Amino acid sequence: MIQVLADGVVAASFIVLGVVGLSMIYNILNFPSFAQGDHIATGAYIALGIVALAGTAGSIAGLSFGWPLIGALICATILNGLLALLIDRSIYRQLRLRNASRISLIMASFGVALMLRNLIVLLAGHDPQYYAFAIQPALSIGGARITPNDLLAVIVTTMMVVALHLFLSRTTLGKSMRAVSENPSLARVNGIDVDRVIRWTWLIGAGLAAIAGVLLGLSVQVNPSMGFELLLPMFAAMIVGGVTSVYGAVLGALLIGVAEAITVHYIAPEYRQAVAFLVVILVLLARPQGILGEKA
Amino acid sequence: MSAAKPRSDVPHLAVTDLVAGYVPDVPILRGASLRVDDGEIVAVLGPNGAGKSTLVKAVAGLVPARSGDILVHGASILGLATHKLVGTGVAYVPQVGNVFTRLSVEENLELGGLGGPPSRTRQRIAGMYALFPDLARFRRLAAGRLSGGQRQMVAVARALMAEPHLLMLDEPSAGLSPRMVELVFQKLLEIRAVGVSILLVEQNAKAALAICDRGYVLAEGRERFEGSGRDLLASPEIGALYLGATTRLAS
Amino acid sequence: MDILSYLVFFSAVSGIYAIATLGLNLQWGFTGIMNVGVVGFFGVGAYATAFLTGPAYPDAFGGFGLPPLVGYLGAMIASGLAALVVGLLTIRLRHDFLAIGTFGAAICIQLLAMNLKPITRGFDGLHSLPRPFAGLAATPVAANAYFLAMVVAIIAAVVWALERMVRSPWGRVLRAIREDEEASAALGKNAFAFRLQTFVMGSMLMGLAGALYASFTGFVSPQDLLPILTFQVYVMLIVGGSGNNYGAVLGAVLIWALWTMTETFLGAVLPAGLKQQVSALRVVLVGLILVLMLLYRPQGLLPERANVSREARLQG
Repeated sequence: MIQVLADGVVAASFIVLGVVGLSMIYNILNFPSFAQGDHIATGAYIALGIVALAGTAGSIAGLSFGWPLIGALICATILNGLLALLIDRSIYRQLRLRNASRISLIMASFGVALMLRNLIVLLAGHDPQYYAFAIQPALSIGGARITPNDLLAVIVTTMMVVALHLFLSRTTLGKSMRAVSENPSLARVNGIDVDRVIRWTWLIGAGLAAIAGVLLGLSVQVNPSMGFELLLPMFAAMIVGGVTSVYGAVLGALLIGVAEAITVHYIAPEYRQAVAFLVVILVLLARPQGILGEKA
Repeated sequence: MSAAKPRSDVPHLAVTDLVAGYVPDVPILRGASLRVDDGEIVAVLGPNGAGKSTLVKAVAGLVPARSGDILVHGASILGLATHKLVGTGVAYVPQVGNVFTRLSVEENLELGGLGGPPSRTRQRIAGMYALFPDLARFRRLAAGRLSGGQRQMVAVARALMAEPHLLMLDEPSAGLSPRMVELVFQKLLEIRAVGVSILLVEQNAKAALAICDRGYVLAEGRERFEGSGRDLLASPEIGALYLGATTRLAS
Repeated sequence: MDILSYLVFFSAVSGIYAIATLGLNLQWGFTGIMNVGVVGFFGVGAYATAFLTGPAYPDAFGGFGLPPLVGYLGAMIASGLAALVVGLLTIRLRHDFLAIGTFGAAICIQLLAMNLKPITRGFDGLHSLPRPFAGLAATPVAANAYFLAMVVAIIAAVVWALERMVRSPWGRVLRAIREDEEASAALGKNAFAFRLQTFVMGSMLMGLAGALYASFTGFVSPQDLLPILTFQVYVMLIVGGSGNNYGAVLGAVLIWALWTMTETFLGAVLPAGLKQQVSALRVVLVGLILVLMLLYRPQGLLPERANVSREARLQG
């Protein structure tokens, strides 16, 4: 049972880092981005490219990689954010300027998703790849076995959630983001530059996606559909948490992660992806506004 | 924020022959003009659909202007992005959705004072709590949990945080009890007393005319009458045409 | 392959896509239901027809050797039932949740195809399905030509029926629902019933397309149920003109032509061994076309005809 919980938390941490961006984009740009999963994959591949240049020499404290990967992670976070910014400039922003419907934005994100995934295939091929091969013995914590890489994923995710909370509650930019997500027109009246907020939304959303990608790559492997496979769990986490709340999305991710782990351990591992769908449907039928969501 | 103290002989706001509307070729405003001078409270009245709200929204840059001009201190702000309006010293309180319901009262105020140095913002917030003592008690509460009247106070305080010289309000009395309306309008007089001019769009003509210096009656996208509050209130023609109608609507 | 048989083959497949696109047009073009699970209903149809018409498989239940026509009818019923279940669960939801819900449903259907081995044989798929007209025609090309004739006849019948339906009072209600989600919410139960009807009917057409595809290729596996198919059908509809049945058919033919031609062309230009890259580049290209269409011609090549105030809707 402890093991299931631990596996669930590890699975949740990748979802958390991805869903934060999904939720921010949903609330600020007003559409569910079907490309968020593939932003996770691009982040992982950007880091992979940097590692291929710089190498992963050494190993830090039982982890399977050395300091260059940390550098690659930071660079990938920034570059992935810039990539998302470029996509927004050239596609979504153009649609916004034309007053396109939300459905057009969803379709465009669907197109972006496939373009990103296939650009990855084009440049790096289909085959799974790895950052490093160093063998790492699993640690035993409170009766659960967990690899140092997975433990790192949980720790980094927790740190990011705390940082995000501080950002949203303490900084002017964070408060501006919350303001825009609730009422963009009033935010403008208040003197908030909504375009600037949108730029930061992409930078942060895709930056966190890159971190998710690298951590997931360390935990499992790097492959072109690694992010796309996280898309449904992320949507599920966002809806379960009640789309208006980033904190709800984090809780939702934990719920989905644990539900997945329970399925894998006790029911049927091959139906892992279906769990997210079932949870979403159940939540939408029972409590359409989600766990932390407010009634419309 | 700290726009140089405006000269008092130039109107704070001058709208001339403004044509504006949401959809091209369907203007709601069809050549409206008005003026707000230093230290004035100006009311804009008129029946539903006359274009009252559109007028302030056009000034705020939320509705595109097709022709005419909008001058703040003699300088045109036509085509100015909405988020730059506060920089010209004009603050706007929309009719609905005028507070961030998920943010706390204090966060609402902080966002109103965006761009100023933090010490100045803190000072302003203290000033707002002095003007609206109720708000100090609810500072940590999400604004969405306040009553309608309290929300209106938050909205006005939020707008004042930017230290505007002109405050535009769209139907501040909407949905409030008569007692609350009186309270809000009392606050407007206090605000004017510290040197802020006010442009007030109102359906509640009686209450607005009672506190305003001048008023305009808008109909079909143009100003039809202009006069002091007292004159407009006394004019039988206007009373019959518009104000009577609105009183009936209100009752 | 000589050019004629290639053309017959190409036309038959694009015709199959056209049927799925017509189904999506009914859902999205006319009613505004954003079904991102097209491939799921396509898959249900494909598997249902394989289940009914396939040879007896030693390692799986199913394969009753029934005639293709029975397979097609069974496919439409099966995909209609699947749509009824998915629709009852999701059709009340807002646009974006509906999109996510149907997307999830399609992934679940693909998971079932992969893992419900006693019926689907997992990744091995169901093979050796009887080809329609195989016994009637002298050559495989002739059989394909007969098949093509059947597909064209189906398209003609579907377009005729849809055109009549959308012009009826029933069709006007659909457009009212599409134009204004809020107002249609006021229609309450009624709007729900209308939306559910079009969702089921559109999905039955997708199921029929899946059935035709399976019986034409004689094989179905989870590899045929990838989300890219949903994407292709959307691009077909958007390029052709959402809300226009002729546009749906035109879009299907154009995009399928582009899809196959890029493979032929890129395959000829690029060195062998880059097959992966060729198919990846193709998807990027089609994605680019979608984005460009959304930006510069959102109404498609054949815009929706008539009075409908789509422009006003986009601006509002």
